[in-house]
Amino acid sequence: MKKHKRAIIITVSIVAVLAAGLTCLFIILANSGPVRYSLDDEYYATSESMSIDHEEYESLIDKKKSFVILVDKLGCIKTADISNYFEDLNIKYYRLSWNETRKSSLHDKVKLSPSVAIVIKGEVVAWLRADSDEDEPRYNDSLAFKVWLSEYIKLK
Amino acid sequence: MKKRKETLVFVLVVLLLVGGLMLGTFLTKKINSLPELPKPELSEGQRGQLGIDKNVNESTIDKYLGRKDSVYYDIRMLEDPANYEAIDGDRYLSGLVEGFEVVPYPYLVNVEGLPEAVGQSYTGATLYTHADGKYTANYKESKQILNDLFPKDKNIFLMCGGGGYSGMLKNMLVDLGWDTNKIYVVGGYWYYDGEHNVQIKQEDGSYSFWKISYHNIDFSKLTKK
Repeated sequence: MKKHKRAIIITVSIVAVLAAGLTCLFIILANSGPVRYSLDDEYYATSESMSIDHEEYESLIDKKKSFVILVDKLGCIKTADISNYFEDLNIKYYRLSWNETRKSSLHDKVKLSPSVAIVIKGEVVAWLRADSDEDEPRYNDSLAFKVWLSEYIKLK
Repeated sequence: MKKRKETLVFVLVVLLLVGGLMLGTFLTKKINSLPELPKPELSEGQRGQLGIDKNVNESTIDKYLGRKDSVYYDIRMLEDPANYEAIDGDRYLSGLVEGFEVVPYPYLVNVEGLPEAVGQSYTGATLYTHADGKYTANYKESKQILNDLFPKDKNIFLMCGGGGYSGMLKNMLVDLGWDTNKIYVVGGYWYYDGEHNVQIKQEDGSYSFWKISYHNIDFSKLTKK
């Protein structure tokens, strides 16, 4: 009888610990958003842009750099200029024209312009989509853009 | 016995003939029937602001080419005075999608809303003038020309360079009485990556404009209102 009681207590304890652990894991996973990355050091503490071509872009990818890149807008009608949103962010970013984007591996992900893509260690982890309602405010509002960017990268 | 056999053979032959005819009719109908077009639907996000269609656009237009119930227009100028290179565009009609004919939008109505960097487009004669929210015909023949170019009983597919002109033309046609559900703003040739490209700009820098089905509007022959 004593042995039987002990077995029950041990079993219930194990189950309780497992349940608590799973619950914690579930809560953590449910609340976790995108992982926040750091850009390479050279892209901080300066607000400037640098135009590159598709070959220079591929070179950055090969070197597994972490940076932000703006795909310049291509359009006949005035749209909000998201390049203005970088002014207060204190980061250096690259600019790639649409024609150069089409020649690059970035075009595998970014199908429309304008766009901003976040590249971490040579991988495109996020980008704005010109055909997305969810991204629409990020094109039209500098604060919404900054919030989106800071979800993915640490801004200093 | 013989008569029965003959009757049987006769019936079989007739059945085969009728069956063959029915099969032939069914197959012919199947081959000639056009796949249903999705209703025009605005794209989400920034693209929707230009009026570009969600389902019938640069990336899907190849599926909808060559329809007998439709007309296809690329509405760029062969050479636009506007500096589209300033926004990474192309002032020349350097290429277009197969099956699209060309009639320049700036000849149809005065161009408005271009980015500053691009400067001014064509400022000559136009079929219509858009001012204070209204489209006013400048020539007696203006409406007839639009009716001939854009038949109201056909689906109308519109393309340009970046997508802006196409959206503006749809707005104009709808305002003048066209059915919005029959006009598709396909978007911009500068985004086209499909299998039906017609290259106009050659490697030596020359342009093969003769490849284009171009609709000229000779304003000197029209009657001013």
